[in-house]
Amino acid sequence: MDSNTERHRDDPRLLDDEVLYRYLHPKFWVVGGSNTRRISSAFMRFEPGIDGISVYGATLLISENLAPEEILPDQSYGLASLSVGDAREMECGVIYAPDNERPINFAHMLITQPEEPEKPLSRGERRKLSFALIDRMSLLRLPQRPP
Amino acid sequence: MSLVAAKIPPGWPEHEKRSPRAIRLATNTGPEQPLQVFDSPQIAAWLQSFRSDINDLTNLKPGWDGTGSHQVNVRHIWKLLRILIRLGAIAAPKPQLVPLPSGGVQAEWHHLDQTIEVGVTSDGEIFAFATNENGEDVVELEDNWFIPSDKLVTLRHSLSSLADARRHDPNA
Repeated sequence: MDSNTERHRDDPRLLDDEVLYRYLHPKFWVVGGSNTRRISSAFMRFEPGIDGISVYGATLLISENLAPEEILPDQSYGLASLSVGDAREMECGVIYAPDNERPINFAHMLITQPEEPEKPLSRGERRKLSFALIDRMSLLRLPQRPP
Repeated sequence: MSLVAAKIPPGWPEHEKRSPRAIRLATNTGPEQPLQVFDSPQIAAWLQSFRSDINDLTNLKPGWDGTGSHQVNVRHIWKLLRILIRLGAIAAPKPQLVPLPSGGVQAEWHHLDQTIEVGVTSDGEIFAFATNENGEDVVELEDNWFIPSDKLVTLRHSLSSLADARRHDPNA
């Protein structure tokens, strides 16, 4: 990681109380046993080859009078939220990452993983981090599963 | 279930001399790609039970989990299913196949505090994680090209105990 990338891993312009929304694909909503469901560890796990975890910033959505549900690719997805401060508590960073893939992506951000290239997190550590982030999240809308 | 002459998928040359039996399954690499199976109706039926899961996974479009998320590689799904057969998963409750944004896939079982996850990364490596019924870690396999025999045994035992627990749970 060069110094330029390092500088942008966490954007200090984002305040801790900024709310981040993340959509939840129905495949991440798994059977937890005994008639319950839970969120898969894959939902918030940093995977090799992925720049970060996709989220959307509430302030940018509000500035365009958009509701959080507007980020959903379709109505089968669920919706969850956490704050920038929640991510930072777990030593993650948050950066702006707007792109042109979807019109809503002017509000796109990434949660970045807390690691140095010399000492990458193990899969077990990434799994624990995933559940720590999920524990801090609020589930705002359940995903719809096919019958 | 219709069985047709098989086109042998990559990675299965050792089975070329077996009698050709196959289950037709849609993939993202072509309209349909037959899967060579062993001469076991039980395994064939078990694989057939994943038909809609495989279709769901292979139909995911790039970006399904946000910018930069990849399609699931169908070869990784087959590899995962072969691993699950080796683990004796046929005797356990059907797992859920969960896509990974990197293009990999994992199988998950949960029952109360017990969790078992076995997956294949976007590079084709295998990983696994399991807890016992008290939620204590019993297996943690980092990305690897094989499952060491001690972890294989523990994973099989974990699957067996989870299957027992599910069988005796009236709410499961």
